[in-house]
Amino acid sequence: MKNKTNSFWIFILILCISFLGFTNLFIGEISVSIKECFNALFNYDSNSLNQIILHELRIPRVSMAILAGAALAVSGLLMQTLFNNQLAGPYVLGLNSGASLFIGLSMLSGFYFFNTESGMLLSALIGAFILGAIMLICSMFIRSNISLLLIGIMLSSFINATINLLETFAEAEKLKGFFFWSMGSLQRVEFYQLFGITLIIFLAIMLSFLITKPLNTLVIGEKEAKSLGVNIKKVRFLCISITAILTGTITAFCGPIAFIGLAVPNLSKIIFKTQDHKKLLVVNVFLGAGFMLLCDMVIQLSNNFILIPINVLTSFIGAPFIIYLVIRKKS
Amino acid sequence: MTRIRMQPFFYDFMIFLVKSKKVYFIGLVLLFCSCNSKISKTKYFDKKQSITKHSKHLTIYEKQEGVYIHIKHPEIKNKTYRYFIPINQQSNSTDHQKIKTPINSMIVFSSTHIGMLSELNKTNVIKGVVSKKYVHNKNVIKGIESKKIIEFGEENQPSFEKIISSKAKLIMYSGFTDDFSKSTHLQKLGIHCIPNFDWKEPHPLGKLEWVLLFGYLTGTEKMAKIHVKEVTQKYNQLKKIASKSKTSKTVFSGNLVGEHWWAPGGNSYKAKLFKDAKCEYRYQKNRKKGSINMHFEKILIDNKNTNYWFNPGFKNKKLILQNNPKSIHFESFKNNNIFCYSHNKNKFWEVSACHPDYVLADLIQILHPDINLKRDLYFYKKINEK
Amino acid sequence: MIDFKEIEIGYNKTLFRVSDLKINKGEIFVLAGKNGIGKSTLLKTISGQIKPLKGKLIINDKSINRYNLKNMSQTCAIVNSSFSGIPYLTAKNYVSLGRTPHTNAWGQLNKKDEQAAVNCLKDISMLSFQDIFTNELSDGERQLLSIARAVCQDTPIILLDEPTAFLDYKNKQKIIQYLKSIAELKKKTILISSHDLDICTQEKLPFLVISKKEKKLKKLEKTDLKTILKEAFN
Repeated sequence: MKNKTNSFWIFILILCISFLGFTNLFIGEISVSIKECFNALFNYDSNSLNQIILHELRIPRVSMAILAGAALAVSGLLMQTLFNNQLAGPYVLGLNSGASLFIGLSMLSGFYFFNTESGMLLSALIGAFILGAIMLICSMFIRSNISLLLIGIMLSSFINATINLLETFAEAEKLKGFFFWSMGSLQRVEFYQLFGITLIIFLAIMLSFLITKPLNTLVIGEKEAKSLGVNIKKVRFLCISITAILTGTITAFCGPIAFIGLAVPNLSKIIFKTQDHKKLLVVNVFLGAGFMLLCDMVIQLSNNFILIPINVLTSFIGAPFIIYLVIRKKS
Repeated sequence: MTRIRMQPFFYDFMIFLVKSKKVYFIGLVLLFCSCNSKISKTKYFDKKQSITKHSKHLTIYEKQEGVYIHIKHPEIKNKTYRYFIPINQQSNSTDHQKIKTPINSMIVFSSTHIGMLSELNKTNVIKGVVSKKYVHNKNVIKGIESKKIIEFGEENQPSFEKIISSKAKLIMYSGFTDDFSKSTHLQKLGIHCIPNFDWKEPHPLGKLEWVLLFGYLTGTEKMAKIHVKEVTQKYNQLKKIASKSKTSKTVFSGNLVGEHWWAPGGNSYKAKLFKDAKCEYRYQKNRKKGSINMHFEKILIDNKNTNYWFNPGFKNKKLILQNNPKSIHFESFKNNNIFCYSHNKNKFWEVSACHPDYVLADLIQILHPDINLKRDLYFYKKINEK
Repeated sequence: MIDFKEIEIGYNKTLFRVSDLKINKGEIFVLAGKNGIGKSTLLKTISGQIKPLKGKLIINDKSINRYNLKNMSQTCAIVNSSFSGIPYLTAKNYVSLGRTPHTNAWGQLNKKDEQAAVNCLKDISMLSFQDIFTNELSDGERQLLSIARAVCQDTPIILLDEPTAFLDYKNKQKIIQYLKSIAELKKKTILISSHDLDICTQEKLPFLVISKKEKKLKKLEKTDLKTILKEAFN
């Protein structure tokens, strides 16, 4: 009975995502036909403006919304379970900032390798991983949820201060590029990069399905999980690595995107009322993707009246939701 | 300023006093009358008599008793900063701040200010700047290096103590937010704080006229007037030459900042320059004075085939691509028709305000190959491949 | 079942010794001793989380050093002093987590596992609560559930670290009685560390006391309150 309603919901979610993703391709300054859309995907003609718009702007943007939503939601879920803290997420725990700092360092450094795509991706992954590890070490000494978040916020501001300090040493031009990057955008990705990003995100999400069993036991606490035969150290390492890959990749290509990783996993638990990570992972992939697509749609539709940066919208939705969660928990 | 804004209230109060027939308030009533005389005084300043002709925010009146300088706040309605430079020290003005000239020590918070002072050969009055990073003028750099000129950092929170110790008589600030912090305290100490809204001027010649402010303050007004007259003439000549050109190219400007493209509005300083250089700027019809921001999709649709791209904010193609890989789809990018002053920004910020003729000449030279001005590009440069 | 051979227990410094002691299958003991003397440390040593500083600890005829995480989780179940409940985790799912050491890599429950969980819930007469979220239950109910989870884990040994600490008198009694019954019926070896000496003596449970004076773990022959207090607290 219960399983049936769950699959029904997932079916609805998939329908929503297909609908949103598809319609988002048609919203914008110029209208395009379905045929052009098809051509832009499989039979690209780089002389037609409509096809350039589709191929270079809309398809990458919509795909990136799906990928970023899914990746950030999953990494948020992993963080929340690992830290046993419903307010954890890659953004609040500073994984984004870690990736930003390392990308900043690599962009501002003169080394050729770090200015290439793979160099930036690698440094983002390393940055996210290091921050994840630092937070994990802190979490071993601190039991209080709120303290851990405070440390995350402090670390983020510390990193931001470091980035500001870089300003005094770096060339203004390079720094400008970095600042623009750090504002977050779904539009920067190029068509040819999509395949690689999809592959990375897909593999990382698949990897997270392998640790659903230990994740389910981690829900009741590390001590208990250990007594149930779970190798905590291994799970921690895997969790942090997967999160670093997901968050790092998205941060490298889209810049930091706020709150999705925190809001979506909580939303998924509220809607589906389960702690089974197999279900939660599936749901988060779809819910995250749907949420980002919805945000993208709102942005595209409002383009003629007001330009909303993606981070502004996600923060507008995410921050009140977190306040709601905290209040709900207290009462 | 506040006094002026409060006048309607005073009227009401006066009527109330008259009605209530309280005689002992007559003294106060008289005081109000003296205030009212100011209203007739506003006619004393006729905009047509102003020394400035193009500026929107700066008006200067030369009268028998001295020079009146009015600086209108660009955003706050009815807010005007009023200054009076008397010819003999006895003359006074009730509603103008009196400034004793020539000022021989001042702190300036913008590169433009440095440029204008250097145009008048008065860089020696500079006692403080924002940072060496933003200076082009060699004398000023030398001054900073020999510690004669102090670096203050950002305009919004400069050190009060540093200001006092610099012994400056005047602070020229850009007024991005509101009044200069602690300006009332500083004024009590005899340090004038004067805002400079040249960056809000929509007309290049209006921006130029702010050099007059520096002229009157440093006692070099004659030189300033000659400079303004010459440059205005040259500018208008160039405009005429451009209008005779047979070529007409399309241009666009700005770059992607985060998710949005920032471009000069149709009524902005840069759009005006484009117009005077006789080219077709895509957003000329837009009414905005400042910047406009747009979605990249719109920019790409509008400007895919535009001939020239100005001011992308980066000095080479590689950096442009790093900021936005999709720049590659602009024809101007493919044809390498991108021009920018980024290779020497400080020079542009310092000199361009005093020399709109140089900027216009640059644009004409780039946009109209049929016109030979027999000079090299002064600010602009074709950006490098790498 | 549990065989102590000249063991010294502690983290870095020896807290106390266990000279020669054997706990057999189906035996239940209350572990008494003053705060900080090392009751939890002893339980951790038995469950393999920390190593004895000296001597040999043999569980089921096998030295503790030869157990890995999985073996240990199939041998020894642990119940902590409180379980605060998890939102959206149902009572049944919580008890089923006890099956983790027996399930495949995906953690899938087969029919046998499902049945075991249902049976454990029946034993504590909480089958009707199976779909209720654990954060909505009372403290006593939750503590019963954690014990049910340990029972569901199907291990020969169950270790309980002050399982009655945060409960009212009635619930304390209920839990001790329940533990006594599973030791008898299911032949499980149970070790309870506790400060609720009065209830434990009432239920006539045998005692292990960490003597304050001798720094040594002792089996007590007499189980009256006076003797225990004398040994444990001097």
